[in-house]
Amino acid sequence: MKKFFQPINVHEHPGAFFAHIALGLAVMFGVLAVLHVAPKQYRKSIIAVFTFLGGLYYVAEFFLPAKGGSNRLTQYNDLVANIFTVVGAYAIGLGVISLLQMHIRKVVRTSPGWGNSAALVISFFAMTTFGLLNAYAPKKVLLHGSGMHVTNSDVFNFLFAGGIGNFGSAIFSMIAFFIASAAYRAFRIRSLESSLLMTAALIIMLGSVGFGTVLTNWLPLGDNPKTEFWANFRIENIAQWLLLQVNTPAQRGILFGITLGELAMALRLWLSLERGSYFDKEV
Amino acid sequence: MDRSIWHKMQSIDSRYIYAALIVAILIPLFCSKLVYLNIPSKPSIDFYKTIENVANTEPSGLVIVDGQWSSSSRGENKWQTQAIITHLMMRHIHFATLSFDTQNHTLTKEIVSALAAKYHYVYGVDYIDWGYRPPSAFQPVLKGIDTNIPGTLLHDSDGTPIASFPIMKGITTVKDISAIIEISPTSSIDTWLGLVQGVNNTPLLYAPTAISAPKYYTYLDSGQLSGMLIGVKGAGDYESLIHQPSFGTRATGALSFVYALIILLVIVGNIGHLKLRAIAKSEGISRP
Repeated sequence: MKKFFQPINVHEHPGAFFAHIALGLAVMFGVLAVLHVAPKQYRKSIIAVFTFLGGLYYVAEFFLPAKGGSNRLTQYNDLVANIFTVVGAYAIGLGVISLLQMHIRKVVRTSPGWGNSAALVISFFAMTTFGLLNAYAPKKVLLHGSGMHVTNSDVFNFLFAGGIGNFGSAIFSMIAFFIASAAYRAFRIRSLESSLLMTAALIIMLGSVGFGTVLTNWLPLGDNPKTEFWANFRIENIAQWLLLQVNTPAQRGILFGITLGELAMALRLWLSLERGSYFDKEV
Repeated sequence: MDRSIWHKMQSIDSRYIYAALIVAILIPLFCSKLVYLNIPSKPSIDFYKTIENVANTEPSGLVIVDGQWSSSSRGENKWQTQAIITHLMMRHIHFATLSFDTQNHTLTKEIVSALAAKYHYVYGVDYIDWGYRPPSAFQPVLKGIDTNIPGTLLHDSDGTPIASFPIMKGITTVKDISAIIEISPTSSIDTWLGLVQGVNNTPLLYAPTAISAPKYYTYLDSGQLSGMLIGVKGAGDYESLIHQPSFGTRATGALSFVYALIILLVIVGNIGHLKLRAIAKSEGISRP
């Protein structure tokens, strides 16, 4: 059982690799078929039982007393991890199908914004095709002649490093422009709270960069006990004080709130108590 | 006329702000002769000292470098990664790279390969690439690292069993790990803290983007994080600590210019705002 769910190197054992994929697909369609033919009143129960069992393993493994860092269940960690990876992979497949259905429909109907959808579909198939070719036939020549020698790997690297990489960086870097503009418009002395927020932000900014630290560089560094007190007034030390003594308790409070919320949410999902979209509809 | 000026000071066209920002970024990046004062922050110094401590006390230990960044946050995380790997190689510390992001494996590999050639690092002896694992396997893999590293990770990125490499000799559980470095713009450090760090109190170091850093001062304060490199400023700090100035140092200069610009804009906006409020008050209007 443990060995069955271990990753297989496709180059070393291609037969076993593809046999496992075929078997996995058969099991998936089998499970879907069982759910489909099961009486409606049992469908939710079947899903709830599997959800509960999936969560139960990690809860039990975490809470059961351990000797030397492990208990009876710890030995199955790898097996359960591999099973979850396989199940997770199917979720990606469902996501891809759903995404393509929506965007292909938009292109076919030439709905508003269909050009963006076409770009998505073309990009998806280009990356998938050359991603697979790069994995299984990277050195195969696509274009040859008149000084050109283009392989599958070259095209993949062009799309990956030249395309996705640079687009991602460009989009993320645009945030800098919005932050600069938003800071200028938001930091106004309108009330006591907004003034405090602005002052704290300016001190943190000044304390984070050389430009700010120059302003108080004439104060002692704090390495001499006689002048240690005055080092507290260096801008970078005030910024650190704000981050550690003011920011940290606030963050800790937020963290407690979020964690309690996550715990409640996890329990609701694990015990199939969650209601709302996708949860209380008939399946 | 006066009123018009104060209004304009409060509502500068975004296009002018963007243009000024581009100039503020480009000057320090391309003027390599400019010298910037940069005082490393305490979390950066703590990060540096932790690695130095590993080099001095456990020279044959293994450090895990987990990357979860992609090209989106490359501007910050790439230079952090480069500075950290440079320091590890300068001090000849063995390390293993691990990725849970589809792009990260390639991006980290590029950095490590370039530096390995410079510092004569031998694959499998001085460093190892544990490869890419899907994000869905993040928690199970971390739980596996606690008790059985070779059994959890099995193969390196080329499919060779990791147990067959000399670097993995004697490395079986998290107790054999000298330090863990997490370079990520996400909250993945929470999982390392929850599942791995506490098992053996392994020093855990974090290199987040600047925007996500304030949340993690909590863990610095509690001692669960041994150090933190904050954004590109952290990369610049680290480059100055290891005396290897690179892009991070220049980018810290650019950051300095940009912050100066933002502060100037905030001051200008507030002068306009306060003046208008004073005018409105003198004219008996409740709000400008």
